[in-house]
Amino acid sequence: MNIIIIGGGKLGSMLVEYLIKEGHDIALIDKNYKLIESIVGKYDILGICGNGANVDTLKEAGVAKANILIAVTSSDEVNVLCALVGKKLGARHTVARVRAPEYSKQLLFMRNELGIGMATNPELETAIEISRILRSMHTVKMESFARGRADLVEIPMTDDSPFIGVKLWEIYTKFKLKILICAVQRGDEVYIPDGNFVLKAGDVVQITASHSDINEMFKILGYEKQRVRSAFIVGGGTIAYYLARELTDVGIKVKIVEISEKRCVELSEMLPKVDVICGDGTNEELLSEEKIDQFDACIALTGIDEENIIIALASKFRKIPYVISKVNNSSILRLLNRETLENIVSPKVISANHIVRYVRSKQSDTSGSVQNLYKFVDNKVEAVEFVVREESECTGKPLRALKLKRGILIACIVRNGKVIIPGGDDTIEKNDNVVVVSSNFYLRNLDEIIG
Amino acid sequence: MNYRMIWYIMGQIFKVEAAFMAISLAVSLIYGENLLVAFGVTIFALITIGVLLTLKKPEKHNFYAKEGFVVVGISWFVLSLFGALPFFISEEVPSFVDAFFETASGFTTTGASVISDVEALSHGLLFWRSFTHWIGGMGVLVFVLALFPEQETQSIYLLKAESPGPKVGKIVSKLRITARILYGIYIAMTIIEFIMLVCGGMDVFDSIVNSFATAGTGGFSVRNGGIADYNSAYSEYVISAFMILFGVNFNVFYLILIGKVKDAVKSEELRVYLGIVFASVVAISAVNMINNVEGFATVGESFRYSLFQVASVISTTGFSTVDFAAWPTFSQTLLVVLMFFGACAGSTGGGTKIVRSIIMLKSGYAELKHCISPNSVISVKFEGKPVENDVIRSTNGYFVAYFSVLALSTLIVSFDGLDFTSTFTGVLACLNNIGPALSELGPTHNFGGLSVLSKLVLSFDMIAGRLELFPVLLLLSPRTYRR
Repeated sequence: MNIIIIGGGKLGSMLVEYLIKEGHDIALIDKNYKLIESIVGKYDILGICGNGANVDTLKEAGVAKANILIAVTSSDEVNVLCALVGKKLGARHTVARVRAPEYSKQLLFMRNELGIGMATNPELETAIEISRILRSMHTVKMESFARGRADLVEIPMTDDSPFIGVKLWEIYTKFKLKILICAVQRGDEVYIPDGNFVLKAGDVVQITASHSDINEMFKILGYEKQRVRSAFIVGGGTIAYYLARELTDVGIKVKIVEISEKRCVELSEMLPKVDVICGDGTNEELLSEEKIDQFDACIALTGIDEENIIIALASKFRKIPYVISKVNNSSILRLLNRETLENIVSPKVISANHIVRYVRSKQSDTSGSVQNLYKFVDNKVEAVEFVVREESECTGKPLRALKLKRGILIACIVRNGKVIIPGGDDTIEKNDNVVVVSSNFYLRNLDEIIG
Repeated sequence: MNYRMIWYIMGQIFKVEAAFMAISLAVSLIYGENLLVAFGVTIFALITIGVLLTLKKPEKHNFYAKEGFVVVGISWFVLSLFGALPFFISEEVPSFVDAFFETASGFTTTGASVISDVEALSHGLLFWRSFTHWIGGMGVLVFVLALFPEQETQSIYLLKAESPGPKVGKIVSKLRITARILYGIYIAMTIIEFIMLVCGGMDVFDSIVNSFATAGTGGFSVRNGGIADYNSAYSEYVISAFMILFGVNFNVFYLILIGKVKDAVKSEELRVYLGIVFASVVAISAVNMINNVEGFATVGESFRYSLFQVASVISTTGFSTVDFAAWPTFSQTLLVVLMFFGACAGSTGGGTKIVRSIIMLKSGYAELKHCISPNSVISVKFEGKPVENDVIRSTNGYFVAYFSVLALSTLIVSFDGLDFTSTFTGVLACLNNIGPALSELGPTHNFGGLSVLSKLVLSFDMIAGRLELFPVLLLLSPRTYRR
């Protein structure tokens, strides 16, 4: 597809990286000539230096033939203008990043009345993600599919884990657990395992199962269950605002530490239920004074990645059960060891995943469209959720009769709200939600799983 | 530096050269010539090395500007070395240095020859000699980019290092498609010229090789008397037109192809280029007629000869129909000025490129204004857009390097004891990929009488000129190879 991306900042360049791998024709527009030069040197795309809301620039980028226009400059207003102009000039679908809280309530209006296909708000999406992690009550990475009915969790195998040394197909008989291990990361390698695979200590496994089976599994693995009742947020930016709003809505007590006095006043006006503390969140004494030790969760959301990491490490040291930190820099993300900090959120990655999902859903034809997309293990493996809209070659046949490509695994099927962890006799039917785990593929519709 | 990647791409280039050479071998077989050994050995060597180098795909694909420059620089020398083998093995060109000079002159589309009796060469070698023009015109790496699907060879830095001009960009988002479009236009135009020449009564073989020589803006002729030998005004006009066309930025043709004729015609470089051609033709015709130069008796004849010569020099082809070394000083000087300019960026022509001259003149003018009112802010504009400082800087750097190489080469070649005009214009004609120079290296003479040292220096200049200096100069710097 022809895709125009406007703005080559953190999110823009990440989108280029993701989308070029899927074989799209990309034109990137940015005002910064140096930035364009460096991105064009790295990826096989067309770079155009100019203002993305300018008609001539958009025409130069071939807007009339563009399937999707994605506006992710630093300014919300420019993004909306880009999307509007692009739409008028013939772009089929448009995506605009709109992040200011002032506009967050009119995203729906933009979609319906202005014809912007997708208005994405990375900060809001990140806040929702954090809130979900906190409410899932386990200190593991978790992603949910089929509107929360099925979960995908990431679990590191410790030395004393009961799963070690057991063949995967024996897990069901031994523990009465209906779970599916869909990817195993061992060292730098990623495996899509079959039934005879045996887990080793140090493996990081991705597991799908229904919500209740996941909880059952946590019990067997000895994970403690603890409800989060209070959250301590360091850094009072936009994400913190959204998050505090989300958390107070479900009755979680929130305390925000923010360094800027002006911002503190704003926050306290907007969030009457929240304790707003004015001070430096990296100051140990202040944190002790504010009784951070008594909180169930600490979320580091300052604007500086390094500070967030330090705050998170310090909180782990204080034995706070749930620690989440925001890290946006890709280089730092790659350096971090998942054993030291298991919960890291990156607004950029979350937003990029949302947009890629949107792009794929516009690309697929009718037989099944992408509902959800989640990349894991350094983006090497992805789980894609499809909705089966009509009958196709994959439907109505037992799975063992389907000739699946190598590296493809059907992780779960959700039918009428019931989660099926599929075996060889199960079938895919119309109106099912199907989660497919794949390595090295970029699935756009369900039919691509058979080779 | 990622040496694995460099070897891998070189391997692909070897294979491509072997394929091109196989076509030449086929031609020689059609004419029943005994060139099987000369071509066969070379093709075998190229394929063996090519396959060995591409046996293992490199794991790391990181490829930056430096790697691009190095691949392009090395591969053009190696291409010429291997391309020279058939001439040498067949003993039709007994000296290897001569064979190397001839091939380098072919690939770089210079067209300067050391062979005095061209008609004595076999058809297969004549075909190969002109074919090198065609291959070198658009570039071997661009061909590799167009051909090989592998992700790993797709780097904009290859295009940047090989394609001429200060600002090389893609015309569509995918590099491979860009390379294919460029070659598509190139092939189509070559075929049109071939058909037009055949229709004019030129024989098929000559039409093919002359089309190759025009398309690459090379200038090798297969007749001792050059294009004048055909004695056909029609052929001369066709070749003139195509020389001018191949000197135009290929982006212009692409714009016309997709129906944006207005945008194409708006191109500032195109307008300046055509303007210079027109003005030069008028000036040379007038001066030559006033001075009663032989053959410039009527307006029609003057137009025919001066158009051909102006087109040939500005597009850096280097064909000739008349001995311009016998023209009045003004006309000769004007030709030397045209040699400096060269063709448009993104064409198959050489020289310093019209766009660089425009940018230099404009920034010079801005500097002048700046002297008068030191606080004024003046932005240099080209094609209606402000020129980035980087481009101005690289243009300045290019000219500094250009004049340094020109001066140093002239100094070395001057050991041969030719007169100053021959020495200087000879180096200029090689560095700008034109071919024939003035005086003793003019169109009726050739480069065969020079010393081995001079031939090597000029071969270096041709390759340096074709690749716009930096990829080749980089090879000479030890810093390039440091880890």
